Amino acid sequence: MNKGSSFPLTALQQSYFIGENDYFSLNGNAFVYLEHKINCSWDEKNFSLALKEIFLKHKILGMQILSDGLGKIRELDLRDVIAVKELTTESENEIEIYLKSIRNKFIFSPPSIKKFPLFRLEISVFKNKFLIHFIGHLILFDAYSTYIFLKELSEKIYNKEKEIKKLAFEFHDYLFYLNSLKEKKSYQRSLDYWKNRLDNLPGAPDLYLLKSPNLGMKSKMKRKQGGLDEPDWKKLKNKIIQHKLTLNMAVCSAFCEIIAKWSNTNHFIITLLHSNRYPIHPDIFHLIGNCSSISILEVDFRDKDTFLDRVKHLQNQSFKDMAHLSVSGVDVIRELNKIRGGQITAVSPIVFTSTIGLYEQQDDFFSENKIDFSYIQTPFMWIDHQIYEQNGKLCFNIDYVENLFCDDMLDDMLNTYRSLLKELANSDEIWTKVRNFSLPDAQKKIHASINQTKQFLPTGLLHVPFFDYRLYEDLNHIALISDQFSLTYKELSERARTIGECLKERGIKPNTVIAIFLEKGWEQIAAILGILWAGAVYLPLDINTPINRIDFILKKSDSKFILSKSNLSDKLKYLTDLTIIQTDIDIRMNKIVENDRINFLQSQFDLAYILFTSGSTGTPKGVMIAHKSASNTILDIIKKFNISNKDIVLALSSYTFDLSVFDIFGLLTAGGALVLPKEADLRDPESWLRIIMKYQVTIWNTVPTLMQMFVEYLEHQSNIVPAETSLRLILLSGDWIPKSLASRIKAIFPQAILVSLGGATEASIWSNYYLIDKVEDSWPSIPYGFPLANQQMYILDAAMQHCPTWVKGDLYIAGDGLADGYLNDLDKTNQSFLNHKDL
Amino acid sequence: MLSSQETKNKKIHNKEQLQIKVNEIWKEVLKIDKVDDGSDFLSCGGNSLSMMQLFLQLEIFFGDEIPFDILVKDGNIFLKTLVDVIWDLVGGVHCNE
Repeated sequence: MNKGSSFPLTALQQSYFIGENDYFSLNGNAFVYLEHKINCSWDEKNFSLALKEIFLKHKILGMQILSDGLGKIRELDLRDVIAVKELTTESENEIEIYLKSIRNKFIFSPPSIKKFPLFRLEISVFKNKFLIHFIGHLILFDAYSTYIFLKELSEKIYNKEKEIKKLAFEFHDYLFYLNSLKEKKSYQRSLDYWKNRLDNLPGAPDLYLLKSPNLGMKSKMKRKQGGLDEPDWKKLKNKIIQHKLTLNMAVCSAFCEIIAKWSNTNHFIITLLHSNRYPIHPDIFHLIGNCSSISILEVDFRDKDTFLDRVKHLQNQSFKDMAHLSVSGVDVIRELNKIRGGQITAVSPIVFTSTIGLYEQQDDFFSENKIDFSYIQTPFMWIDHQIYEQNGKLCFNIDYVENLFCDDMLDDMLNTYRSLLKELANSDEIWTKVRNFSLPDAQKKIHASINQTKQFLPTGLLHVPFFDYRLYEDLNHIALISDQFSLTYKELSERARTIGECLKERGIKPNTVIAIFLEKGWEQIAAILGILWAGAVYLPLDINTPINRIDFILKKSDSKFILSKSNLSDKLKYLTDLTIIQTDIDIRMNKIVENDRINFLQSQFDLAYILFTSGSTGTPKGVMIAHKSASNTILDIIKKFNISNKDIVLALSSYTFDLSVFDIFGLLTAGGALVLPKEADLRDPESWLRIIMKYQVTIWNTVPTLMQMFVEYLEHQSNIVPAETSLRLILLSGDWIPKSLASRIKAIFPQAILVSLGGATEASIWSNYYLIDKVEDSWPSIPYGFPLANQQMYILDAAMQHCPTWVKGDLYIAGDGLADGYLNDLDKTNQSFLNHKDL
Repeated sequence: MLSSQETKNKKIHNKEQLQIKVNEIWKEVLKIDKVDDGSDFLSCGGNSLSMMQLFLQLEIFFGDEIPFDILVKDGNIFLKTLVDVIWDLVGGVHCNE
């Protein structure tokens, strides 16, 4: 190599050059730090001579990086490279402290492309031995180069006579060779190979991050280690070879298996770092210089269920890719980045590297000379996984960006990885069987205890507590309140029973579905209670729903009867095959019904109501809820929040929405009351406040949006103190609750208990709850909380297996709240309601 | 490493000659003494490093006409496929001088 003339670097070296640009996210100096022990006494002269000879052989060690990213060779001065410290102490404790400080010194001031030289040595001299501390920039050293450097240096120290052969082929020649590849036809083929795959390559695995890596963020890595002991590794190697697999791809598949599990995807890309050098000249294995390259590996475990199939796929893909390594993965990433418009850093930030098989043919340097401590840092990468063999063992490092990942999560991943490898070593079956993922033990315990919700609740028919007069001391207690008039329990019961008896007279049989088409007001509630009194099932319809949708719903549910009112029935006149019962004409409300005999016509396992939800498909589905399912939710909420006959709810929700089921049956079961605002007041915060103050409302139960409107209104009222209102319980559900909203509610209503509830119409109003106390800054959102009594929640992946903590999956609800399915829709029922073999 | 000098100047005229040459490269790369028709890369102890060597040697000898990725089947390379593919692509025409 000529001194003075500059030369271009490989794509990977250039990425290390870019890596020191402060602008990029996860930027930083790429370096490796190693400690290597030499078991003979320190002889400075001898050491300097050895080093000088190595410098003479590997002139590339004098590489300097110019500001335009080109390399240039300079003369090296020993004094720039080496420092010596003689240790006087022999106390292990003090040595440990000393070593820690020297490591920190090196790691916190690593070599930089802006400085010269690109590596440094420091010698810690002990009695009869010394320790070489080495730090090198990755733009100069790959794993193989550090190996050659330390090997040749220590050989020369142990044996002064050892001849250091001159190189007939240097790094510069290798660069020339790599460049010449671009002239070949095969290079064009390789470009096409990658170009054709760009559009179909998946994204990087979506692991849970503590924060998203923003621009300018520095990379600081932490290391976790693991491996397999010699007997297990030997067994595993035999199995791998028997299956005609390569060691690297088998271990890489196990690693990908863990990544797949923790990112809940079976299709993603990782980066492979190849330490391989094209064997174009014998001296290629004796030269220093970063000859490594990277490539993108597409991991596609979809439709491949057994481990063996997965490794075979990965091996097939990687072998095909190996035919096209002349195109650097750095360039592929750059192209992907262009297509996806993201940052260069996040395209493929998980790296797998192996040095297994690399040194094997050379000698046993590393097995005899242990590297005592090592540390590596690469810019742009999130997780850098290296595997290597040492003394017959399989060893691995997992270097990860410290502030991106939750430490516990990586421990769980590492433990699962280790036990998977161990299982693969010891069982033949696991290779060819669909594997059941088992949660880490600690997580299993937590999940089980959270789902331990069994509780006796005296569930029954929803309407029984209301009709059962004996429950109430005061029959003149108010049940329904509105600005026009109020109804006592007695009055409401009479009207409801009148409707019920009228239905019975018309020959309606128990369990018949009866639709309701009424505007908001007492008639809706009387109709619901009347239908249940008659043993039938209620199906509420919104009067503003387009008539063709109503027609669809009625036909879908085989509903032949509809309760309406004379002023509304005009809308229904085009519907055929339907009996319209007009509450104001057909039912004489003053008709006296016998009071004392209560004869309920259905059991709690019969259906109470049907609610049509659109879901994501747009086609309405009728959710069938039995009495006992809704009763379970309602009784639990009454118990948890001490709802009593002193409670009054502001009933803002439509009766087609299941929050109304709680408003009606929750309050009427507890002996409380509902305030029914008139249509014009339903979306008016000013009216809400007036109603709350006038009727001493204690419970708020709505979607978050309505509460947000209320909070916004109240924040601008200077003469009102909401904290002094009677509101004691705020239930929010049905949608995402912004964190800021929760804080604002807490500020405005400090006296109220704020509860977030969730679930699905398909699981009886609610299935989980969370009492919001203090809203923590670190929360990404309000926690989903805990399952309600006799209900369970599971987060499962596509294979219906448990997702570990921090892993996104689908939420499944189980337990007593589950609907009986979708009315007259077996296909959709089977799609959404499943039997899980293990749960 | 590269030690195919003695065969380098020979033209390959038929598939048998090609087979012999491919076998030679195969054995050299995998450091084995024997091959047969049914040999496959992994049973012969191949890994990613020797795969790189194999591709390189084949390219040196037969030129850069061979799309190596089509040789890979089931995460392996079969000697017979290798010979067939090379014969179809470059057989009888030339080998590198």
